Amino acid sequence: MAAIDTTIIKDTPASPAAAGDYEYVIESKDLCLYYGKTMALKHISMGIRANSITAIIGPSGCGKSTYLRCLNRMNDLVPGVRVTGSSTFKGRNIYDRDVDVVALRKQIGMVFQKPNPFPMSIYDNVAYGPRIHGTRNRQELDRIVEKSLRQAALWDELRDRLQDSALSISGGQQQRLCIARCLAVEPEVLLMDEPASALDPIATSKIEDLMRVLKEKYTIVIVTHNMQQAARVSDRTAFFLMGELIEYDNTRKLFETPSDRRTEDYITGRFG
Amino acid sequence: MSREYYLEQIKKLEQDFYQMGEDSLDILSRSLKALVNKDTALAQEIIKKSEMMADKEIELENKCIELLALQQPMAGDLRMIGTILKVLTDCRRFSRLAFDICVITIRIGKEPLLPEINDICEMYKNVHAMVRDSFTAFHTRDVALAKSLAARDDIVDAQYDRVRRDLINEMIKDPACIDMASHLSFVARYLERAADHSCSIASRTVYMVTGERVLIK
Repeated sequence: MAAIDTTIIKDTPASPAAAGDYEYVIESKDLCLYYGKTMALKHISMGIRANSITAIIGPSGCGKSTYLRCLNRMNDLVPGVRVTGSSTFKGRNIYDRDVDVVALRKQIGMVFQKPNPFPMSIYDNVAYGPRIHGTRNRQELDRIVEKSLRQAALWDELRDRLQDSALSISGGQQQRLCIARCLAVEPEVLLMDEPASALDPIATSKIEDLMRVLKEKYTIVIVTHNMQQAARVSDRTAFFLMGELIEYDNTRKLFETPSDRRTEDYITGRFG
Repeated sequence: MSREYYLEQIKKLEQDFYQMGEDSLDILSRSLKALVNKDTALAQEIIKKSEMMADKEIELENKCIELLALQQPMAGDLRMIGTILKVLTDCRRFSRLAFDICVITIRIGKEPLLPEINDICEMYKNVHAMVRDSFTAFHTRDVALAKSLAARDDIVDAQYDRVRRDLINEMIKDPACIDMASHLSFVARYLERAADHSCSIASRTVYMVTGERVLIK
């Protein structure tokens, strides 16, 4: 693996100023992705602004999760995947050969559909990332764990249970713990793939409230099947259909007066 | 898979609103007919029908709230439901204005009307066409037709001013006709208000179709 390119992957805490030099923290231009001979993403061009929540919606198989996984190269793990075009993170192509993928994923973290805490204590789940990246000092780890759990709105609920198994807490708490685990390595971007689809309405609203708070410090991209969730939490929404980006606009504009008939038909339930 | 039940409900809501518009216009027309013909029995009938329109307004409002709460409509559907919630009040006002005209008809009884009733009937031709076209524009998503109401409202306003002035002159010339002239002045005022409500429907129709906010008056 090539050396880490420190111009885009150096350890800096996320802040609006850090992303302020770019109109878009992440920008895709003419991005295409193939699974073997199948073209799953077709010439996607879109920019994601810092400190905003961008929602990606569309019917099953439209490419929204595939696009999300492009943004921190999770698709590298799928055999036969080929990508053309570019996706930049703070001006630098994510797919450049010399990008350290592990370091990239530290800066562009991901939360998955199903809560996936490690089978270890709550504390160790959150401390896992910082330990991997070399933090050994107990006081420093304590500080990171508390800060991350506070940011994930979990500290007050779990402060007395830090040594309990992460599998002993509720599904909603587990998902917020996964978010805390992401935050512990101080990413700049959080990718969320259906983060609330396995949760009840109360746990879902906690995740949504958390997203609104987190966007002050982080840039969030969320894939969701739940259009109401996209409408509730996001600043901008992208509608994907059969691998194409059909429409990308301010969320209110897209849900109130979409420009494309296909968007209108999808969000009003005429198809999909 | 499309949302068949939801789409049926949306379609039914629009049809029900359109029917309410037709009924409201019919009530308004017949209220003027009752006045001109001094038909107090018809006036009584219209008063009852007008009260039924209040129930219809609540029924459709509830349907809108139900769709918003249970189906979370978006885009064109959301704009249509939001528009219906607003223009239901305008629609209800047509039958309420008809109610007020019928109350005057009953008060007048068999007393002779003044010649200005002919001008009021002329004015009503324009008002009737405006109300009809506001519902047609809504139903057919015809933005140009909706926008045409602005100029036509100016014509109705001018007709109203002329009728009102003529009626004041009648009162000055012959104080014995003050009661009748003031009754007719109110009728003319109600019709002018009906034209204003049709403009309100037209304004909301433009929003419903395009998302653009315009004020038609």
